[in-house]
Amino acid sequence: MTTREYCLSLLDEVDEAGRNPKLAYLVRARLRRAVIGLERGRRGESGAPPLQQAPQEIRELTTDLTARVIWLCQPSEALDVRWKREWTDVLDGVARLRHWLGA
Amino acid sequence: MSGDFEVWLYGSRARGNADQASDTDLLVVGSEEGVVADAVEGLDYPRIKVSFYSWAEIERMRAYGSLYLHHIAEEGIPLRPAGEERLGQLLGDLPRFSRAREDLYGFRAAYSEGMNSLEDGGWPDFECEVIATVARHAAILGAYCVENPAFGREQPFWVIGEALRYDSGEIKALVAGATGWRLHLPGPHEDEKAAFEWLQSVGRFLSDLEGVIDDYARVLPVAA
Repeated sequence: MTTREYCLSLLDEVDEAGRNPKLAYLVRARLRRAVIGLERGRRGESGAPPLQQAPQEIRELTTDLTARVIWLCQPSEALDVRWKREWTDVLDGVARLRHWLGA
Repeated sequence: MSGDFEVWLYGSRARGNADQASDTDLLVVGSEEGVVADAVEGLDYPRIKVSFYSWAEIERMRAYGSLYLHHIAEEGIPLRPAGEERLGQLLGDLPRFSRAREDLYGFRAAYSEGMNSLEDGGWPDFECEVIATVARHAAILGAYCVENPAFGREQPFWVIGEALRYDSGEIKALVAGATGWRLHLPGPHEDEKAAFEWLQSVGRFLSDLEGVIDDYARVLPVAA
């Protein structure tokens, strides 16, 4: 699996958790895991450039998304009010990351 | 300044045990998120972290006995206005938290994913931080479910650990790993063998918690 495929699989997992209320608590860790994947690549495998080489817009987006889901995915609250209000914005950011990766 | 909001302080600064690593946790409740800037203007605290909810959201959270609202009820201090007004009344007779089983499911799933990621070459610092956060959230839930709510860094582990009849050494080890990894503190928890043992102990803790949550949920009143 290339870094690009790996990062896309991590973003797929974010999507999956966001669509299933039972998995909502996992979004925070899954999104941060995906961001780290983008930042570091995967054990030196080639594919997408690491995030340090990403456009400023993408770096800002990942920073914003990480902060947003840490706030969003508190235990107990993730399935309810914050979730409904904020998830659409998170999903939009995930779609932009996916687009940047060339999916 | 609009009067249609309230600002409450909670967390370590409300408990009076903040240290240099502590954020300032503020809850702002208002008609819409635009009130936040007005609500916190001029407040002189370090590293302010704001959670905003609308009044309608607070009402919905109240209906299922949100653990977050129990947290505010337990230790929150109203800053603006200085007396307890609308939110204080809503917190006065909160129903019991009704989503304990769902929360535990999420904690166990997050733990399993972290462990799987570690086995699959994931980033140890990150996965240990994730699991440390899960452990803390689980300890807070457990402490609440044994009728002794606690929301600090260490106290929830002591409350639920003693309820589970863990010895003090086990509890100290759980706390040391959870605090060290979550806050990225240097210490003996970073040793590979210690980290492995701590990860295993968190898994046992989550399993043990299941009985506590079952006992708690069994006696909850059935929702109308």
